[in-house]
Amino acid sequence: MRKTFEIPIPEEKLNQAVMQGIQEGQKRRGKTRQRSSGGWWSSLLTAAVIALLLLLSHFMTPDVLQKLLGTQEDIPQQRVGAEGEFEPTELQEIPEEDPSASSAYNEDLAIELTVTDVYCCEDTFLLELELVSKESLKSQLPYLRNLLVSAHVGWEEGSGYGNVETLLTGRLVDEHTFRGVMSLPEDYAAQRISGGTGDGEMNLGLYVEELIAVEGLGGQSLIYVRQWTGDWKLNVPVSLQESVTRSYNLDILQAAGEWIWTPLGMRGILTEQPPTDQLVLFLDDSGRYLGTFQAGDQWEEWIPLEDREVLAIYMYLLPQEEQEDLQRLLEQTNGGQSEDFADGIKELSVSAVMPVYGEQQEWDES
Amino acid sequence: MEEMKKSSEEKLIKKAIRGSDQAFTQLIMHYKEYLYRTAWLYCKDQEVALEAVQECVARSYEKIVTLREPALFRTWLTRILLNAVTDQYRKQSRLIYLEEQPEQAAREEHISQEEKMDLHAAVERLPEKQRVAVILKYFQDLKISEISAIMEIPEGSVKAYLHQARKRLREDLGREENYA
Repeated sequence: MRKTFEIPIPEEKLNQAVMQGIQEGQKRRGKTRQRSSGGWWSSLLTAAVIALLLLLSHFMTPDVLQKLLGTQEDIPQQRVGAEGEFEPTELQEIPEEDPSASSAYNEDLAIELTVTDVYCCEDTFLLELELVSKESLKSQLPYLRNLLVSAHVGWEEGSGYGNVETLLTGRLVDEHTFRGVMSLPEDYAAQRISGGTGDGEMNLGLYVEELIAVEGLGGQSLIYVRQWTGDWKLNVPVSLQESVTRSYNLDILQAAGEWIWTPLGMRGILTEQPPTDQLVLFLDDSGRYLGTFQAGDQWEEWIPLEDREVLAIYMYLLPQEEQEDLQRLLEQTNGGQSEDFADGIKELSVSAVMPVYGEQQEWDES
Repeated sequence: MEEMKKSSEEKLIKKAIRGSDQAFTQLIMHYKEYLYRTAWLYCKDQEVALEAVQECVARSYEKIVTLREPALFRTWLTRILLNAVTDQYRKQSRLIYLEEQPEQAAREEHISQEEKMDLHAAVERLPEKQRVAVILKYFQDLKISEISAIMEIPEGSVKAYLHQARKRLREDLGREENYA
């Protein structure tokens, strides 16, 4: 009987109804809380929903996201709010910790987290994080590229702590080690700068609560493949640095976007969609996989650059029906990080190859 | 794998109860299609179903801190949905009654044979409690115990409603069919 009917799901309208329901719930709960404990809660919840929705953006069309969340650039303003209701959030129960500890070991999980580098300039705030696990990561998660990090973050000077859920994008560098780059919400950098601290150093408190290995970003459903819940308390000295961010416009093939480089990583942002029947694939000059754009994506992973200098980026167009072959190839070539990957790509039905960035292009210095 | 999913969902529910917005959103994203289908089956109207889902999400967001037993999340959520869809449906029905009563009455008097053969339409014509029980049991695969909790009636009553509904559907559709 159940199989008799296929009820069509109005995906876009349903997503909209869900998000409006959450917003309405926030208002109702916010009203209740405001009566008893002030109004910061709804701002915190809104920020968290926004963070999650950005990760889930492939479930929705860009139109819906745009309507619900505004543009990427709008988000910090939305957190502050037109009526200035944003207040820094408090982090409860952060135990005292060695203030200089930029690494933390969780004995129960036998996982050590280390902040190996920090980059903070203008609206970009990146952390390079290394996870070393006693158990083999490679045998369980051979193609690991993304970790979803849930943490509390705040400056020691008392500007408050907030919940952050962000993606650590990187790769396995050996059997037990994953290294990646994650960006913090822009307002952390803004707080850093607006604090008037000049070139002096401040300590960033990072209290990581959860790490989730994620598969399937970039065109597929988000799948959680492994979850570690524990405590890692880190304190990281951060200096304000002069901007060396570089960006490059990508307005070809009906798609538009840009690449942004920092010393720690690079990020591709797509602002206009590629043709719906095409998959846009990016490789570096060594033929290693960088990422994929697909119609409906708002891909903006940070790709760590810690051990390589990318001299050129090449864009390949693949028909959608080649997606399964691409996935297979990624699995066979260590997530596209071995030299065989580029050879394998050439065997697929590549309909176009062109350099997006290389010697023939000039930097747009910002 | 199922175990892992179940345990992972329970963790999410617990986090949502403690106030985690992320966890609540993940749960709702997981259940959204279930909610929509249930609402749609109840009212057969996309707009009403969407409004009911929206209201259900708002109410559940507001009240999840009061949920005592994480294992009953789906039951609790479904109950909220049915209350919301009933509210929406009543609003809609009142509107139809005021504005379109003559046409509606005429439609009810002239149910076509083709429409009679349509199980959706047949379910729609069931009395409300039988309809809810049938939707939850046969369209959404809920257990009798869950339906009992959602409808706030004894399990025996659920079985009775289902029995009456099956009988009525068989009569309505004019043929024997095994719905169990």
